[in-house]
Amino acid sequence: MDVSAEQLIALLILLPLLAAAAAFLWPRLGGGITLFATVVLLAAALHLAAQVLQSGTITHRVGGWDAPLGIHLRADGLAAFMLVVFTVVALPVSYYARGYFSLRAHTGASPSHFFWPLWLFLLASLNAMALSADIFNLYVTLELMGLAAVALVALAGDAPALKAAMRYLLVSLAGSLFFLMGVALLYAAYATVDLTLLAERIAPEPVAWTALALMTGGLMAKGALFPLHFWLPPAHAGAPAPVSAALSALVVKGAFYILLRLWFEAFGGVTTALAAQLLGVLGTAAILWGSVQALVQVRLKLLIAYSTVAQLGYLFLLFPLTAGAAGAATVWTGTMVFLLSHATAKAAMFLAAGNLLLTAGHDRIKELGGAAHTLPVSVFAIGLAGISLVGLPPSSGFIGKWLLLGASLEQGQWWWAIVILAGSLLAAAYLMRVLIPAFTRDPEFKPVVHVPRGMEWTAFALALLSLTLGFFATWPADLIAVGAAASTGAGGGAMNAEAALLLAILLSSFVTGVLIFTLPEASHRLRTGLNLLGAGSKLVFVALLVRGVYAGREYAVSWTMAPGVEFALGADANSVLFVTLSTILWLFTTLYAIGYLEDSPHRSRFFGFFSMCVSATIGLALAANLVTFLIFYELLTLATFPLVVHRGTPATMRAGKVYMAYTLGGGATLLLAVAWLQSIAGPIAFTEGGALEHVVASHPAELRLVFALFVLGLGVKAALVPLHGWLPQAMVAPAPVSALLHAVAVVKAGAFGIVRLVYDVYGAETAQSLGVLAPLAWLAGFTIVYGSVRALFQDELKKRLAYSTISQVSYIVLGVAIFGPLASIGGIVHMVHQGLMKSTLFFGAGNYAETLGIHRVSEMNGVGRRLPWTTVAFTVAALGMIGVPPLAGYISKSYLQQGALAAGADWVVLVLGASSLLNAAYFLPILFRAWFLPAPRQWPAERRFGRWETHWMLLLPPLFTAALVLYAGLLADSSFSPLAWAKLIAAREYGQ
Amino acid sequence: MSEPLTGLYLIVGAALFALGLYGLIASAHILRKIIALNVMANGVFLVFVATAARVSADAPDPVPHAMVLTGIVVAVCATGLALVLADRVRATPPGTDDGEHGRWT
Repeated sequence: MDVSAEQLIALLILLPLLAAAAAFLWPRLGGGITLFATVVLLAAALHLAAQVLQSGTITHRVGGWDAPLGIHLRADGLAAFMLVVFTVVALPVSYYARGYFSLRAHTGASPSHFFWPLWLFLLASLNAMALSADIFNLYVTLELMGLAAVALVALAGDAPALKAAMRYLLVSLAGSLFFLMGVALLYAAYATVDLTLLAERIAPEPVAWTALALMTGGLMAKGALFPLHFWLPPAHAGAPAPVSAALSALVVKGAFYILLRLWFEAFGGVTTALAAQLLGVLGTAAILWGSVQALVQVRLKLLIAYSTVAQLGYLFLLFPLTAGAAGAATVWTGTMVFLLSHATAKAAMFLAAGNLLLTAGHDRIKELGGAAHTLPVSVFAIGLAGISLVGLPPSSGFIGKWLLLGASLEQGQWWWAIVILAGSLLAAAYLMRVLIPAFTRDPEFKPVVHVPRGMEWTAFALALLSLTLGFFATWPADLIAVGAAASTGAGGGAMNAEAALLLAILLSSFVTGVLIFTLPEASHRLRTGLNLLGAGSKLVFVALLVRGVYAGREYAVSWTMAPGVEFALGADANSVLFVTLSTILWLFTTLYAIGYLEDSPHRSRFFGFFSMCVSATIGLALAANLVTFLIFYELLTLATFPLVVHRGTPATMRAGKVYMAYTLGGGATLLLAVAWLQSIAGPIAFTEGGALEHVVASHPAELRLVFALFVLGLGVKAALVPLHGWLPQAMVAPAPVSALLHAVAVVKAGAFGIVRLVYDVYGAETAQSLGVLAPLAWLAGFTIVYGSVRALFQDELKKRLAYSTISQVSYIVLGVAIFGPLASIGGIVHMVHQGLMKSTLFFGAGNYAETLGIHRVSEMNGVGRRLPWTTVAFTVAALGMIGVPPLAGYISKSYLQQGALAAGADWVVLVLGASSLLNAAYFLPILFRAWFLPAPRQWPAERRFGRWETHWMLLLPPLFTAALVLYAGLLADSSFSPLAWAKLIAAREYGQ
Repeated sequence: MSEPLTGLYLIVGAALFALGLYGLIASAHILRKIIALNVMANGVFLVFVATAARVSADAPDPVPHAMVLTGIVVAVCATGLALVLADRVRATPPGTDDGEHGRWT
């Protein structure tokens, strides 16, 4: 069937109106009618958007009448975009509402038959609003929207809801009257209400300014912009979940849309920069005030409502940021992506919150633990939606904020950048409050009602949409450019065998993780099989990659997420080294974790996140530009948090909070650094020898500052002193997680980031000429000594190892920071060596704890005789750490030493010497106790595993990794060793 | 209609609007608030009607009239809804208020 665009326009308004009437007449069919109507509306909106993209703005004269008497309906890019937003949210909300109200009917709550006509009526008014081309029509639709929304809020029928509805009605009516007064003034002065004609006739004079002020004020009240937001939280508190979703996701956006039409169309030539800045300031106040309120709320729905108040503030940053002509298109795209992101994420969050509320019978955050455990999908939906709301990559919320951030830095309005980041950190803080109950248990919990799966998955689907839209953020840019001045180009990467291999490496663990999440707890064999299949297939893919890179093949794949935001993967020598290391260690760590967690609860969740964590690390290794690196850097944080708090005890929750506070802070700093650097130098792809030659001469001071920011952001994960505080605390995590954090993923990600920063972003030469390497070297040197000294005084074995990590990772940083190829080789090769040695040590510590119940160094007397093989592996790794030849650690240290001497940094030799002595001082006593002191008569908590000294899955991994430590040392000069590869990287960097 | 008289209508309209706004904010009683909103609305309508004389005194501009009519219809509906709501608020027992809803203003 072929439908003309004008018919589509009529359909988008008439269908919901007719459906509303039908739903009112036949209340029993209300749900079905609504669902049918919203499906058709979504199809119509998408169809219209496609037509607008193809043939430009489409105008429909109602009844064939022309202006001034006739009414024009107009679909330009912005209108089509808003229609898509409205209908995309409307469909899942309608589906959810069917289940919601039938559940509520069982509990004897208020009937639903008024919901359907009102909701359809609301949709009709929103669609009509999007399509209106004159300010009086906008007034009518605004009023209709307000009345429908008020009635929806009143649906709950209890006293608080009625009061809230009353208050909302008064605010809404007053806001509309302000708007109408503006219309009257404009008509009096310019004799038209048509947006286009107004734009032609309007002049900067008092009457126009008065009208603008009145209308903006009225819309601020309707759009809940601080300080006129006070009606919104109470209106949400009592409203049914679908109504809250509609209100937060759509209604407030409607008012914002009209504001856009006024400011950028009708009043185009009249607005002043000062007024725009004022709106930005109000937006800032909204972000801060809303976030702080969200932080202190006791009830979940109110928390989400205040989050809406905060997030709406971001939309208003559009006004000051478009004041300058340069970069306005970016700001528009950013705001629109953000709007879409918020609409979907917030709807998802309210729907999921509705599920929790129904199940628990209340929404007091602290007491939701039981409900959260009953509804894992809903909690997951809240988590995913939260990622988008905080603005973490790769969500659409990230793309929106990223574009706004970049634009504000580019225009020199850096204060907005600070606001954007502060808002994100606050959002992370209040959303953490929601997720914490998900990890606490309440065994006595009895659900009030059983929420059907469909309602859970609806929330999940919306959240997932919000998350993945980040990858497809070019179409809003294309769409809103129709009928506006700006235009943007976009493109995607072509697919070939090389690109497919990169994606296969990334996805082999990601898909494994997704599958594992869906497995029931009891299917132990299937989960183990999947885990090993994932790890094994990744190993095969990586082997193919190594062979390919060796043969000189180029591997790259890229995808345009949004204008100027490129998602790019590639495989250079650096990536291959890190990928190989992570893949091998992942295999062993997985094996170890399977044995370690045998018979413990929540294994599907654990291994799901475990796989996600490795996927993020692999993505980090393969990232070919800074933005992609940033995306995976944040993903890594998110994936590791559930692992750190896996046990769910108060101590782990505390450690988890500390971990999040550190890493999210670091992430925000890194984000700022990347945004700033790109505003100076444009998009940055990792390039051997550096990518900044063209701006070094013009921006030396800024580049130094940005470098410092980078080190701050990356230093948190790399645990550089004084940013290391989270690491010893995170030791509460299970042993395989510690091995993963220390050897494979998190700490390594930070160190790898610094390698990338110095070699492939700044370039060693440039960094040296800017003088930023020496301070970095001092910092690393200090961290090395500090970590070793602290390790000396720890009796708890895992803590001692943690401080040892702090010290050892800085070897990598030190190697990078000393200018010259020899030190580089030492630093890079230590990335591999430290990973192998430290994972061996943690496997050993885990074996002592699991088999004998030993957690402290002072308890380790005679363990060598009880667990000989484990202790052999432990000994090899410990000696390697000290730097005993010919083990792996010796190779790293000797190259570092030679490099330092070559660069004239003699103090480094002292640091290395002191560190080796300290290493010996904290490792040798352990070995002495283990081998030479008599064993106690009874171990703290011994378990027997038949023929083997411990479970075979716990024994094999340390033996393998210890063997690799030997291999890396003894066969360092062979052509296939970590050292050979590190030499290759250093040679390319220094152009030899 | 002469020019000064139009000006007077405009001023009276603006004054009604301001008066109504004051009433909306300052009154505690819900009925007063609803009436205040209607006063505001009438202020706006008066401005519209005065605008109609802008073209010529003999043949007034019909467009503002059409808009006022629409405005009146909307205002009547809104007032009706407000009154029903107010009545329901009065008739409904207070129930459990978590202290989140505060007072009217």
